Amino acid sequence: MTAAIRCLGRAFAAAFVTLVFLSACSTPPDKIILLPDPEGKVGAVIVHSATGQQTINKAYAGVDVTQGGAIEKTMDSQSSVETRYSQLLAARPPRPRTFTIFFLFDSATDLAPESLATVKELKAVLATWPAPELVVVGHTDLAGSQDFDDNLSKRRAQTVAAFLIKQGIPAQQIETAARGKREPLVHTADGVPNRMNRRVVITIQ
Amino acid sequence: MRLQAISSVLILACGCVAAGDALAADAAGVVKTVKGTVQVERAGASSGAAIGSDVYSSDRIVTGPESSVGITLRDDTQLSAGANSILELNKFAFNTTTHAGILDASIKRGSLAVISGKLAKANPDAVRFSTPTTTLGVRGTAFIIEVGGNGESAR
Repeated sequence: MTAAIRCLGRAFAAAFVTLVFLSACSTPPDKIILLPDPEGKVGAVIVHSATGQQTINKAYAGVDVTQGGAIEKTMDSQSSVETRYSQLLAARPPRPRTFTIFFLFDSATDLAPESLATVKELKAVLATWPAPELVVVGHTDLAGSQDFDDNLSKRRAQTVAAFLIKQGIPAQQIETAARGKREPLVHTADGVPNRMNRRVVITIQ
Repeated sequence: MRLQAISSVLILACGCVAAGDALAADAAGVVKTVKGTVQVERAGASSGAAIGSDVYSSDRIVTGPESSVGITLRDDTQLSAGANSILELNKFAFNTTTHAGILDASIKRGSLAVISGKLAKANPDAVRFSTPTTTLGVRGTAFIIEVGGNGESAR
């Protein structure tokens, strides 16, 4: 008899737990909040749900999206976002930093004279960087064909990689890549030589 | 006893194969910050993440209570996941010459902060983040996602 009552009690308890569980299932919405990027520029995020779509394009604007897909616009302030997400924002990796080394015309080997100073600065930054990886990307000006420039920019990247290794940076931290004439610093007509575009950009990731 | 020995040999052999596979593909990114408990699940195995750990396409990253992780992907995309989070890096590829590729990641539980990188700049349609209720298109920017529910439970 007592066993039966105890059993009944247990069943009630189970039902109660189930109810609590069910009410917890009225899930809070997913939140998306737009931030300015590290340069202060604000881009946009386009949020698609099962039932709608919303573009967010203002800093600290956002949306709440329910399980059913309903989208509600939100507006936060910088301080409220920085407080609420302080742990998350503190966990962000360091912002990748770039250093540029320039070359003489048509040369894959002659570095501009200020290069040594640039490498000195780079090494100082490397010393405190978590798990540093260097991406060394060669570029050319718009003189020359794409194939020629792809090759020239590749050799420039290799020259700088060798230079960095000679300066004491471990080879296994260095990856080279070549962009040819695809990403000029100064936009010119095709075929135009330009000192600023004959360069290698080193990114510390 | 002998059976046990055989099974550990098998486990060792499988471990070697998995490591070989991981090395065959380029890493998608590198762990830069770790706080508390952070596990990386790859091909059915789970291991603790440390600063400098490589992250690969198809990895699942799980953070514990009061934990967080920061990851820089090869295209300079910066990710950070907060406490009690599950982040799945479904697909990542990046061509350093053309900047073509794909980034597809899901935050199943917890929170994620993103600063988009070179992929989003060169080819915004190749970058997609999703939550249990949404899919996000990214137009060169930074944002936070917080998943409302408990989402999927950790395995």
